Amino acid sequence: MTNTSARLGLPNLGLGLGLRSQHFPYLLQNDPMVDWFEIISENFMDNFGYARDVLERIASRSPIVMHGVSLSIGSSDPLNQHYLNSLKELADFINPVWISDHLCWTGINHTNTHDLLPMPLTQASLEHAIGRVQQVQDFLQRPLVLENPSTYLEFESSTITEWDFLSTLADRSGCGLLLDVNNVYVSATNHGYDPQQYIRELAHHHVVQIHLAGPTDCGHMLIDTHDQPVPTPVWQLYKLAQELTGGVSTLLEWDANIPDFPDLVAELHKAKAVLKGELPQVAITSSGEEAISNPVDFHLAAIHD
Amino acid sequence: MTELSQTPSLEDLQGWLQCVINTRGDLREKLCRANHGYQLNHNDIIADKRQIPAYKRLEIYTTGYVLRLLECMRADYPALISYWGEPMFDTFARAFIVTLPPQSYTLFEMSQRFPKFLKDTKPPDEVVPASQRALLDLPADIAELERTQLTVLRAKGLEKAPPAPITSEFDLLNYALQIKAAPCLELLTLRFAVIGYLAELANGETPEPPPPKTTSIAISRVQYQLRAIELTQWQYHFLTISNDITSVNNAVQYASQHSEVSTSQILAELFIWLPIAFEAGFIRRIN
Repeated sequence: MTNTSARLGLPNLGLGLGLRSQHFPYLLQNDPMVDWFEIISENFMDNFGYARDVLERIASRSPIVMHGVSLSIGSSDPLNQHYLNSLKELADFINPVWISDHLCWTGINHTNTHDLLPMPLTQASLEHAIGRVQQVQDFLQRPLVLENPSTYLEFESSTITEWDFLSTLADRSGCGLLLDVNNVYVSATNHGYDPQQYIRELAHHHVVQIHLAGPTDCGHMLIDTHDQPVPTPVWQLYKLAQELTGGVSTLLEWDANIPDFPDLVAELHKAKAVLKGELPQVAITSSGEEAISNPVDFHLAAIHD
Repeated sequence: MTELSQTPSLEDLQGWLQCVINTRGDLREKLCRANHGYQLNHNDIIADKRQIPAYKRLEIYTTGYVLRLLECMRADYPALISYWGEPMFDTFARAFIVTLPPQSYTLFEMSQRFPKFLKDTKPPDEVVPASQRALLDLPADIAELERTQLTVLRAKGLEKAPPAPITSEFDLLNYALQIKAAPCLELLTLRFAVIGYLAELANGETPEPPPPKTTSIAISRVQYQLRAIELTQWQYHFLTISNDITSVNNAVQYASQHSEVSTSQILAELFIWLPIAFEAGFIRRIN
């Protein structure tokens, strides 16, 4: 399955936010003020409670994109058919504009660490990922979109840069790319490479969507905490990515200490000013406390509402 | 660039990293176990960048793993935290996380086995003074009720297909009426009467722990709101048989056989209780 058109022929949806259950009451009574929503797929898979009812209502008036965290496309375990069945059931129910997940693995031997773990970037890993993406796409009958993860370690055995790995994966499997410019910044800082080079060298025509978020500086490394305003260096990368891609859907992630909905909209709408060259001056937040990468607040709220 | 012939396989690297993340012990012990088990060495596996040592990088994953799952556990069992206090709860939760690593793709199922874990790890009765046994049984009951409530909230309910209402007293006297339990109905038998205890905790009160009392409970939901009611033995069996479509008459016969309550007694009480069972979303009428 290959598609040579930009963004896989998928639309630029504009500016969107993650759909979080903390905001359900607000969204059911107010204009959403955003162009589209992204859901965490696993929050709604096998869930037939209130959250799915709200999702159905919101999907009737706003485009929805499904974003997963447990596909584990890079795992050496076989693909989890139960997971794929549930994912497809949800996709058939909600009819998302596209389905995304991460270039990562979450566990092996039937364990799920619920973390987005890094892959060794080797030719063998690439062939492995290409085959699995094709299997998933064949099953879902639609292209998959994969996001670059934040990473805190690289493997000595890696022989391919992450941007080349993702570009080749997209070229050969026909998948799209979700470019998380915050993750690029976090990983580049943690591993000492140039984030602008990453974005310049990525195959831009495969990029379907951009993620924005704010990290935390924990002293020796940046952690992808999704609980801070987008800092200036990430906005700079965003501007560069939008210029190089020609404009793709933008999504602000905020997954812990989640602000009120209007405050999130205000943060998201800074993207309009950025594209006009007005960069917000926002420093990266520092913390001496233990920070959790890939926070789970969004899961918890969805489970208990 | 070409890959070295000694490059560890993807499976080995992932097995090694997962072992570091979720095996028991501090980071030094984790590394020992993973390095020995996979015949690998972390200093050879992790790329040396920016003079940040491998163990510092691994620590982000090992710390994040436990804290992330611990947050889920805390969110799943607020009443148990109220009963135990957070330090005691965290001790058991951390032991659970390291003993039974998550297997499901959804965090919802992560702590599903926690109530059973509490039961299984409880000291045997013969080594606990009789006066203290209840103290050790109550936490598992609280956990089981909290867990079941979460299950009911996510299950398929009746909201999208409301059942035909009971419109008259004639309906209640129609023992041929076909009924079926709601798909989200859960039945429990616990050693303590914990429904009221949990409700008071949820209201921010500080109730006395309930005394031991074997209690059957039905939990369902109406318009996504939980309904939990204590049951008599015949009511418990009445709802059990209603898991499949059955008639009121058949359910009464079954309940009588299993509870040693006469059918006439059940029929007399049913007139009052059946509307409550419909109202609480436990059962629905089929015809």
